Amino acid sequence: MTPRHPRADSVGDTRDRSERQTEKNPSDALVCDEQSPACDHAGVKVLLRNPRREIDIEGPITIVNLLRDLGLQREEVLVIRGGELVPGDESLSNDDFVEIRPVISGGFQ
Amino acid sequence: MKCVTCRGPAIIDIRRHNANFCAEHFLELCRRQVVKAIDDYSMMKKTDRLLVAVSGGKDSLAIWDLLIDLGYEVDGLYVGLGIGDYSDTSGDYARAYAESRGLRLLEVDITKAYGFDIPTGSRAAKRVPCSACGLTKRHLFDSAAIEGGYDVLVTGHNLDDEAAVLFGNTLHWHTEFLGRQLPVLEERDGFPRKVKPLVRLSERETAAYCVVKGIDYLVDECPMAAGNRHLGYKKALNEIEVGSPGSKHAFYFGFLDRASQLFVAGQVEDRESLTPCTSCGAPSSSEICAFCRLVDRAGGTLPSESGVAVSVEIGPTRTSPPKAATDEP
Repeated sequence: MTPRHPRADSVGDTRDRSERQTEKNPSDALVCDEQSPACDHAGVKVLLRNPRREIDIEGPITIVNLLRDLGLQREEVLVIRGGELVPGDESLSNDDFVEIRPVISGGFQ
Repeated sequence: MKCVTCRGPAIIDIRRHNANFCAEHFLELCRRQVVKAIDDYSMMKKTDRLLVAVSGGKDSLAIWDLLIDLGYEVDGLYVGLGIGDYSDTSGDYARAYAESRGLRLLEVDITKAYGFDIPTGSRAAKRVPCSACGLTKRHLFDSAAIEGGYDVLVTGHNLDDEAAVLFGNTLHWHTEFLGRQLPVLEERDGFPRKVKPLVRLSERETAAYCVVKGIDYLVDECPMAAGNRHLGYKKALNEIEVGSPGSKHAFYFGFLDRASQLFVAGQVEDRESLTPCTSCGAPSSSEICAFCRLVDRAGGTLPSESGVAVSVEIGPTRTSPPKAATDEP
């Protein structure tokens, strides 16, 4: 998979790119930069929550690999496309739009 | 992926069952797990009148929907906690679900009824927000269930909730809490019977249930819950679950089967020391109950013995009269 650039505005991170790229956050290498002339925005559109933001991921990619690359636990999210659940072995193409919805909730009991 | 039941295309994998399910058979699995929890712990009868604590989130709407589909008579109670837009939105989801299914929903707004909100209350009482919120909800749900003559109060606690609380209580050896961490708490003076029919479903499954059934729920997390210990325990348990599917189930149900009875004795002593709160009449271990102390510190209006201030009711009116609050089960 071709690494893509971090998109500062979508992840709420205002540090410059060289600073961010020194981190080992697995999602950073996959997020596109809509301000970069080299980026054409092609890719799987992914809606993330808490905070709500959208990122582009290069497809095709399976759900299992998408979650692994984003550093997310299968047990803690659902992947939803068009209001329906997407199973883990399904491959997403560049014209897909999916939501990764966290399922962990709750406070003190 | 193929459905373990019909071999059709699966929509979800559940690793602790080592199985995949299509939409139809996933819903069937959810119903079966809830029925098993109800039967295994003798939670309630079909003739009981149930009140479900509704937050507008996935768990409470899922259990309301499941119980209605299973043929129970269930009203909802939503408590507005005054947490800004979050509370406004969560109330909208609760109302929308009730209206879509023609169900009866009661509402209590603590800002209108008692003149305080959770952010103010937690600061004034020097409690973390989740503690003030939990205390408020427990008090109001318990009181409303008793006063409304409901046989059982249902909450949407799922397997992850119970495993995380058990993990925290075990980590700190809070033996006084371990004795009451059960899927059923029996009715006793001033407290309703309380049940947790979702204990056999994980929160990924309750969220998936809502998606498959087309139930809109509030996805965003409460802004005041971020970083709390309970969420940290869930994440820790999920790390274990990934490497060893079924660990959360084994941890919680192993405790119920083999350890929970060891901690019940202390509960009996606690019960004997309860007296009515001199302000609201709720059972309390001190002269003024914790909820009334919270309201007082927050500068709010103390509740009276006249009952919980239900501000809004939507849906069909009650078809049978409520029991007297003093009725025996």
